[in-house]
Amino acid sequence: MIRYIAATGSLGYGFLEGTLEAAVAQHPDFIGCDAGSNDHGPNDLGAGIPHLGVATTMRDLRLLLIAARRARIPLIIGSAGGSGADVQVQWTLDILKRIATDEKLSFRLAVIHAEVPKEWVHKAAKNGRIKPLDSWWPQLDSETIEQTTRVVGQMGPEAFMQALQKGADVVIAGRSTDTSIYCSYPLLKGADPALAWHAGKIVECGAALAEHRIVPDSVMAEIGDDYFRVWSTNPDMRVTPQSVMAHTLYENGDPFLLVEPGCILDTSKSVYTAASAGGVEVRGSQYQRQPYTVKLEGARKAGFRAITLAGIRDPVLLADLNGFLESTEKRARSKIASVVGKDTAYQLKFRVYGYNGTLDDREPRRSEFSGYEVGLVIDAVAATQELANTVLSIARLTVLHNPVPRSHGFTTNVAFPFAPSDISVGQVYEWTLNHVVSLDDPLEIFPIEYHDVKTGTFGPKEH
Amino acid sequence: MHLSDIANMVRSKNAGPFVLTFDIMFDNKDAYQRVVRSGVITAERFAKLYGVQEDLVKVFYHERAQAIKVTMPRRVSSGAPEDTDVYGCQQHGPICDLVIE
Repeated sequence: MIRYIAATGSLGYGFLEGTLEAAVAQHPDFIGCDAGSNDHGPNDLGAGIPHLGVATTMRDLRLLLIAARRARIPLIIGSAGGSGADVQVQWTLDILKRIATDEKLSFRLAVIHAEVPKEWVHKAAKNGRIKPLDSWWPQLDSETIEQTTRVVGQMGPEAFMQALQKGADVVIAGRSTDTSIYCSYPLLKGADPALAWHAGKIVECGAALAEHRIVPDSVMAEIGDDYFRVWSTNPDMRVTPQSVMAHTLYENGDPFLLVEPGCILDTSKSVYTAASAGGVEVRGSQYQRQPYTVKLEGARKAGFRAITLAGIRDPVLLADLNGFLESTEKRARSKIASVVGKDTAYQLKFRVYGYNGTLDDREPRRSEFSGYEVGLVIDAVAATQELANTVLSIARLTVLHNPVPRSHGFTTNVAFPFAPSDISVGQVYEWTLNHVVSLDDPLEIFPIEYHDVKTGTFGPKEH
Repeated sequence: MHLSDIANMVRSKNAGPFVLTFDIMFDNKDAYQRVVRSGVITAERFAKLYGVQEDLVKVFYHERAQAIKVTMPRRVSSGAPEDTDVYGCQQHGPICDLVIE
């Protein structure tokens, strides 16, 4: 039997100290924590910036590191820094070093990299090893690879297993599949792969498997011979068969099949029951081996953004909001063309909250609009920040004074909450890669280095 | 009756940066069966509502979980300049409003 703690949905989201303490008292074999996601969009990876701040990450990492060292069990962190690129792994290591120094901790550290050199991607694409993940997505061409600022691969459990086998007490890994972080130790100890993978999928968002996830928190999993069990050590969070089953569906395109590196998890025959020991027991999950493929992620620069936030409260204007927006956009575009030239590319979007801000032209209730106020985001994206700012300033001025046909005289149409009204947002990115690469060796693009950390001092790099 | 009056949860979310998935969940078999039998949840309807190609919309019925899942490509990838919902988590409103006889 293997028992472990999934600390929280993402390192830095937090957990209650009491929940962690109660979990550690139940003799886990390791603590795992996912630290990343592609949910936040392409900017973190494209720009190589951490998703969360130092303070929140340090708080969680400090408590987890202390707990793991006290209990003498491994601490496994995956997708470090948000997207798991080298620069984000290094950011996490810098925080780890500060904690280790403060707390005078010593341990064997493994660092697993997941950033893939572009030359390698070019070569793999040329050799036909890279394929679109979805049938409707195009083949990867060399121009797209060139435009992509950095590429990461989502590692499977094998690199974690290797690091643990070589005696790592703490593993800080780049981009990984969420499940791999949690199934690596059980697989190393010979657990049933279907149970190990399914448990990993269930706990990867921490307490999100509970009926009501009141706060981000830790959960526990136990893998036996023919079952796994998940439960919460926070008495305020109920874990039910329905909530666990529901979480199997979460963020997954298919409700039964979960594609992971080298395998497919099939939950169509899984049975979820309330466990007498607390939480939920799952049996009957199945697993099929597949050719070994790894998902690649990458993003490219897509221009610079500038925005203005404003409110509209004039009932006369709101009575024909659509007409107002249409005439405003037309006049703004012709004015912009006269300033920047009619062949200069830019994107201008009026995002009108309270009307169609969330669903855009797919909002089926646009025609029934009636309201006393809407929020307006004027959004300009162009090749340079200066151009985006120019486009925005013209659009903003046009919105401000565009005539409202039913009001006779000069009107000022929008309320700006801030001065200055215009905000330069900076570089915008977009995802480029929706592809998988086949690997002969699961560790091929995930090199591991080891360090002996002695009271916070990192020893030399070993391979 | 609206679907959101019958289901105990309707949600949308990214399944990766290029795919949008909807979960419609029920707390009893009758409610689940009623919606399945109504024939309201179809690829055609979702394709029309969200402006995607019908043959790329997949509808799954999960009887034991009492859940219906619908998965489709995103119109633009998550966080691209013209995107309106980076997490894809507020796209389910029109589904809540579907009328179930």
